[in-house]
Amino acid sequence: MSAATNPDEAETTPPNDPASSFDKDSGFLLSAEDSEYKFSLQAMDSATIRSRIAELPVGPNEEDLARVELTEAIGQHSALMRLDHPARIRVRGSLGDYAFAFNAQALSKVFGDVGHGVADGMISGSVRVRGNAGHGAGISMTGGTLGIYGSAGDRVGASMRGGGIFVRGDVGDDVGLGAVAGTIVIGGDAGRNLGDPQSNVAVFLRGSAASLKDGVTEAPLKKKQEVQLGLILISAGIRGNATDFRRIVPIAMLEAEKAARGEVVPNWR
Amino acid sequence: MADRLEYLHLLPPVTDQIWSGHAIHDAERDVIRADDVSVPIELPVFWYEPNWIRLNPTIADQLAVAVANLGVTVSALARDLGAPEFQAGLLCDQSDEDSSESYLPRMVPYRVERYGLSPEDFDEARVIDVRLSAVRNPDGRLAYAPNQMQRWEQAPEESPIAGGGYVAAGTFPPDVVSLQQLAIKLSQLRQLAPHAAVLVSVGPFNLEEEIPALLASKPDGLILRLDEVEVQGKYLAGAICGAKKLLRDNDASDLPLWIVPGAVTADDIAKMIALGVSAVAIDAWCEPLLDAAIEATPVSRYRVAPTIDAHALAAEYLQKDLERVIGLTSTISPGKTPKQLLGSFHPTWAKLCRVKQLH
Repeated sequence: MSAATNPDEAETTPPNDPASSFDKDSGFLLSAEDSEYKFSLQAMDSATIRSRIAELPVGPNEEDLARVELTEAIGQHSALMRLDHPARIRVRGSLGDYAFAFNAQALSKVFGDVGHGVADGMISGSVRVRGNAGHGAGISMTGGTLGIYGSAGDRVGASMRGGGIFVRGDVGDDVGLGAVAGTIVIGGDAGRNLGDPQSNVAVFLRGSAASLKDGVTEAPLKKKQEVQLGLILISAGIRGNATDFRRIVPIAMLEAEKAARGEVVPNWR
Repeated sequence: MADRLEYLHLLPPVTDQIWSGHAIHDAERDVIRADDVSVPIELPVFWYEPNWIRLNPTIADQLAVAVANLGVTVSALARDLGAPEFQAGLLCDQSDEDSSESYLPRMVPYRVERYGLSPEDFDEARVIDVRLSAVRNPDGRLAYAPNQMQRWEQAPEESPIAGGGYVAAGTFPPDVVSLQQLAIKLSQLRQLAPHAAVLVSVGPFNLEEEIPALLASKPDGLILRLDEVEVQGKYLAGAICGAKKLLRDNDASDLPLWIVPGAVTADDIAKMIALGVSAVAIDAWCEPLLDAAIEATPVSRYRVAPTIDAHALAAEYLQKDLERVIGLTSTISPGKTPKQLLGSFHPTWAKLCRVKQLH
């Protein structure tokens, strides 16, 4: 199933341009006047910003969420951790390491880059990054969505326990290391040791991998997964066809599927 | 069991002084964080690696509360104790009219993979134990058992974690790029746990390289896992003195050093504290207590939360030894050197530990 359907858009927007995808998806946030609340990351510490966000009113549906603009992001470490309030947040600039750790409910967008360990332990909500991410993006997540519209470093989704990660560009080595559940979608190429033979995580790859980890293999998507991935691509505002992707799967799990035992005997190991 | 540090002796007050009364020192010591926040530690003992999975979660919580009530810092994740299905008592505000301390002393094992960790674990924790490498499970595996993963991650029974198999333990935190960058990780943890000391734990195998590198990340203390090797008392004392020397050589002589030594006696603990250790793990004392809790757990055909008299059990198994630790440490003046506090009739021990040679 295809996520991009409008031919006019294809002419005006370069294909595979992650920034334009992000901006298109963020159009309602691009105007500074739209923001109801503005805080400076330079003038206020993270704890104060968190408590101010926690006091914002909550509307009855997602469109009514309070809109927050955070300015003067200049690479602060450990920024915006443990947000746990429904709000739409945009960050102007780049953040340092461990931004949005344990994020819950908040829907955030970063108009810049992030450092290592972005969305560490995220629980729910979403974090979308227009630029690149360092190593360990989305590690130990249990829920929510992390979208990287640039590229990400090594160990994306390591020890992930749920939720979804979408990287529009390339990723580094050891993606999905120790991950036990969740979904990782890689729009570009992957480095070495992709996948984990002991994992239930769903890894989808569009480009090529330098190498797969021992005990995992590539396989075509099942119909159900094509639908699942198509929805992810649409929600991420990324054009592409789900059939362009392959899944990276433990060999033992694939063999169990082939023997038609996967649905009946989930203990595939 | 016999003392492992049997050739070391706590020295009594010298006899050629006029009677001035020997000060009785409080066992409580504060850990001062890198950001100058003071963290009180009631007793210089902690339960480092409780095998909670052997217990029903509610019994595990009752036992954890009972042991922590004695002043022992207890290591546990909320999910070890049945959360979120049950409200873990160890994480609850304990304040009542008779108590000034609101929360029991609790240590968060911040494992490489963070399976089972939830943000609530940081709230009111007293210590964060940052583990930079894997620890063997009771079977000797560097992996987590299926039932352990099930308790931590609470996966649906029809789709167990890792297909119902063992999950390999990690070897280094995936979001830490280097030991140099570890300082930012520790700073993050101080923000997540504003009332906790952030300690880094290491094994005994590469201390000469690891300790100087770890000190650059400014931890609030180190935990030395000496239980990973079975050593005689002399080597245990030597490892402690070696670690203290490395701290002195790197201008960190006051940095808290916590030790996981394996089986020790109350006298051993007091001697280690005299050698400059800040706290000692008492897992060997707590294992029989855990066995007793299993034995005391009632079996019911109905889905009701079991209860045991955990406070009585904890007192029965731990109180006497803890009283001796408190008693012996009350005679150890903070700030005195091992040479002022300890002596040995054995020349090798005296030289190894740089304590007074007795004749």
